[in-house]
Order: sequence, then C-alpha cells, then structure tokens
Amino acid sequence: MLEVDGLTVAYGRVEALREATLSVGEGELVAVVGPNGAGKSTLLNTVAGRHRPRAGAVAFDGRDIVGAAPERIVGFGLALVPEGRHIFETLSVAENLRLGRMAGRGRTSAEDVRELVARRFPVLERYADTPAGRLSGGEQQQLAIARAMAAKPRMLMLDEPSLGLAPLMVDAVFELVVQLHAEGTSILLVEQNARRAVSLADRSYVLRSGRIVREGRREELLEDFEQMTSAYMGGG
Amino acid sequence: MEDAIQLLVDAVSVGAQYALLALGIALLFGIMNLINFAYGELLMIGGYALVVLAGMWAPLMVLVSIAIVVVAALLMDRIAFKPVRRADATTLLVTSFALSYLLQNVAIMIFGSLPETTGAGSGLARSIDIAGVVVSRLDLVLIAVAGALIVALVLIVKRTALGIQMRAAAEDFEMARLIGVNADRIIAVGFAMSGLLAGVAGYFLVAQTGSVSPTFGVSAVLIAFIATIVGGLGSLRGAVLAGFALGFITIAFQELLPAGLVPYRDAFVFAVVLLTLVLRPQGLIPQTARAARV
Ligand SMILES: Nc1ncnc2c1ncn2[C@@H]1O[C@H](COP(=O)(O)OP(=O)(O)O)[C@@H](O)[C@H]1O
Ligand SMILES: [Mg+2]
Repeated sequence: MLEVDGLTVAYGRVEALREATLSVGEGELVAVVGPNGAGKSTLLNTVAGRHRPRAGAVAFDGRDIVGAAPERIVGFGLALVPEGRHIFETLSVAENLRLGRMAGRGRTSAEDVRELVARRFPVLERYADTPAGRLSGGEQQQLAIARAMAAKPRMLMLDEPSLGLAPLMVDAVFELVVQLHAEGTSILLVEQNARRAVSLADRSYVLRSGRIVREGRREELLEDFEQMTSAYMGGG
Repeated sequence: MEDAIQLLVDAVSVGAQYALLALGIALLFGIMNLINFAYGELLMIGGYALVVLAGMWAPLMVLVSIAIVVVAALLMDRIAFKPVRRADATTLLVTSFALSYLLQNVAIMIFGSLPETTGAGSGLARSIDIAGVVVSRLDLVLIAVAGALIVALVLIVKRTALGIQMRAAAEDFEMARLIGVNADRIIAVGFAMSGLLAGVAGYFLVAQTGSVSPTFGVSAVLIAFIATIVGGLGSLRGAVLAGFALGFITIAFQELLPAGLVPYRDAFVFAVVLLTLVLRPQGLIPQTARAARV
C-alpha cells in the first residue's frame, strides 16, 4: 500500500534520512522505532508532503506522491497525525472533527463521524463545543487521531502519539492504535517507546542516524530485543 | 439631545469606517502573518476606478469599482505574495511596502500626483432630517453597509465550512494543510475578502473627501493598522472593536478639545492608543494560541 524506496531527505547540508526503504502492506501495522533525532519525524513528514526529498520515491496505492501538496496527499487517503498533536486549540472539538471530515472529501458523513466518536473516542463526546485547547494532553491526542480518522483514511501515520502523556493515557492511546488496526486501517507508527511499539506491530524497522539498520517481524525483533537494546536506544 | 444623537451618528459612522479598514488588515494577518501595507493602494485603486468610471449609473459604478478592487487584491496575491509565501514575516512586510510604493508611483505616472476630484458619492451628500435630528445620508448608508458587511463576515468566519478552514489556517497553517485545507485557495479567499472590504471602504472614503490622489490610502491604512494592533493582531473581533473605539475617541476629542487644540486631535488619539498598548501590550483581545506559535 505504501512503498518508500531509497528516500533521502536533507535540511540544508544535513542529511536527516539516508536511502530509507520500507513498506506497509494493506491492513498492516508497521512501527518505526529509533532514538531521538534518528529521522523518524522526517520520514513521516516527507511521506505526508511537507518536505521534498533529495532522492527516492514514495508510492501510495501505486501512485507516485513525491512533490504532491500535503492537502492532496490526505485527500488520497493517507493521513498524518504529527508529533505534538497540533489540534486547533481555538476551534471547538466539533470543528476540529469537521475539518477531518472535510478532508475525507465525502467519504464520511456527519453521522459516520458521530458514530466513530461514540465507538472509539467516547471521552470526546461531551466536549463537542469546548475549545480544543481546554482538553487534557491525552484527550488532545485522542482528538488528533479522531480528526484524522474522521476523513476515513486508508492509511494512518502516527508520530509519537504517546509522547508527553501520563502512563494511563499512554495505555489508552496504544489500545486505540490496536483497535483501529483491528478494524482494518493500515498504520505506520513512529515511536521512541520501542519495546511497546514493536510488540504491537506486525513488523518494525529500526532507524538510527537516518538509516534503517534493522527490519523484522514482531517475533524476530522481540526475541533478540535485549541484545538489540543498544541499537534501539542509540547507546543512551 | 439632537446634538448628542448627531454626535453619536458621527462616531458610529467613523468607527464603522475604521472597523472595515481594520478587518481587511486583520483577515490577512490572521491567515498568513502578513501585514499588508499595500492595502492602502487597494483603496486608491478603488478611488481611481470611480474617477475613470464617472458617468456610469451610480450603483453599477460602485459595484464595478468594488469588483475591480477585489480583482486587484487577487492579483496582488498571485503576483507579489505567492512567490514569497514560505518566507518569514519580515520578508512579507518588506514585500508589502515595496508593492505599496510601486503602486503609488504607477498612479503618479498615470494620473499625476495632484488629486483628481470626483462626484462619486455626491448622491449621498444630502442630509436628511429625522424628527429634528439632521444626519447625512452618507453616514447612514455607511453604517448600514458596514454593519451588514461586518455581520456577514463574522457569520462566514464563525459558521461556515470555509470559515472553519480559515480559522484553522490562521492558527496553524501547516497542520491545516495536513488535514486537507487547500492553502492557495484559502489565502486567495482571504485576499478577495480583504479586497471587498477595501473596495467598500474606499468608496466611502471617496464619497467623504470627493477626491483621489496617489497617496489616498496611506493615512487610512495607518489607522487600520493601529486598530488591528490595538485589537490584538489577528483577532477579527478585536479589530472591529478597536475600529469603533478609535472612531468614538476621535469624535470625542473633536468635540471636547478646546478650539486651539482641535488641529492636534489625532495626536491625542494616538496618545490614548499608546496608553492602551502600555496597559494591554497584547491588544484588547489577545490571540494566545498564535502568540505561542510565533
Ligand atoms: N526543520 C529542521 N531543520 C534542520 N534540521 C532538522 C529539522 N528537523 C529535524 N532536523 C534534524 O534532522 C534530524 C532528524 O530529526 P527528526 O526527523 O525530527 O528525528 P526524530 O523524529 O527521530 O526525533 C535531527 O538531527 C534533527 O536535528
Ligand atoms: Mg520526531
């Protein structure tokens, strides 16, 4: 479904991503783990159209999407929930969700979104008219994911959804990821919380200093997880 | 009593004019961090359009001149600002200054630097007498039109899908694009609305002064800019509020100052502005979310 081939991205002269090659299959949950500064956000942001790569190809559903504007890419059904959530704080919760629905270009109705929220994001239900900036960190993260899901994307990219959340909320967010995956959404999950992400995902990639240094299925990676600790954590 | 009502009408009318001007600036600042000093030249273009169109049936002439200003605003975006869209706020500011200066000089080349007089708006010049209170038709029409325009704009921004997209873009442009907001389109809509406001405000300015010159828009844009700052940069409600407040203060000083000081009225108004900003540096309605982003 998503094919990233030899992707190289640079900020000025610094190469943040070097010839990264990875794929996510239909209905698959794939994790990319690695230490801070490894290039995880750069990878997702580039796929979502925020950066132009120096080299390499990105195909979604067989369509080349390098150079397409972010608003077009989300229209194709590939949604990014960026690091730091970025909900619209001055807009109400309902307005945030409505933006998501508009991004779906008619794929979802207002009723679909109400149902989605009731089923998967019940904490948001009573906040419809509340400015989103008033929600707690965990609720904001749920809103960020709900907003993306309101567009009914075929694939969801999540950039460190557990970052800065209280432990209970971290559990809730990972539980949500599992549920969305179980319902058939393809997911590319980026996490520093490596053990957790790898144990949820069907397959994982390990990114270090802009390079993919390991790839494997859940069992393979968990098996030698202890030995791999230094690779996941970059020695620190 | 009649005097008081007349004064009130004056104050509301000046305030409505300032609010229109300030909204045009605040809209674009909200969406793209642009303080468009060339907004004054949109007023000027509207003014000269009225000069050129003289002789046309008045209502049609006004509509055509407003349409010309809207098109000019869209061209401004396309030609001058779109190429520097990803640049920082300073670059945008300098671009708007350069554009302002360029357009003033083009106007000098075409029309000369002396004011052109125009009868546009003379139809509104007569005063009318309502139960002993004499008010100018121009004031009444201005208040009605500006009021309707402000209410319509606020409803669009608050209620419609387009308005939600505009507010989202104003708060976090990058995220808005990630959730499907078409950046170019939303900015173009902002420029078109700004042009509409400039077209209407420009017409009333011409109707009041009866002439147009290449620097026609300069002092108006200064007032608009001040109202936008006082209102809280980027806040539409703040811009409207501050526009009306400035109008009221201006008329109050006009009436209350001793005759010898009336020529310095604007200095007093600006003193109040400075004092307001000392007390509330973020403006009347601070934009907390965007302050955190900048
Ligand atoms: N906008 C930017 N400008 C310059 N360098 C950047 C920018 N964003 C990220 N970097 C650099 O690129 C590298 C990868 O960053 P990032 O993709 O954010 O990593 P991660 O998400 O894995 O923490 C880091 O060295 C970081 O300093
Ligand atoms: Mg990151």
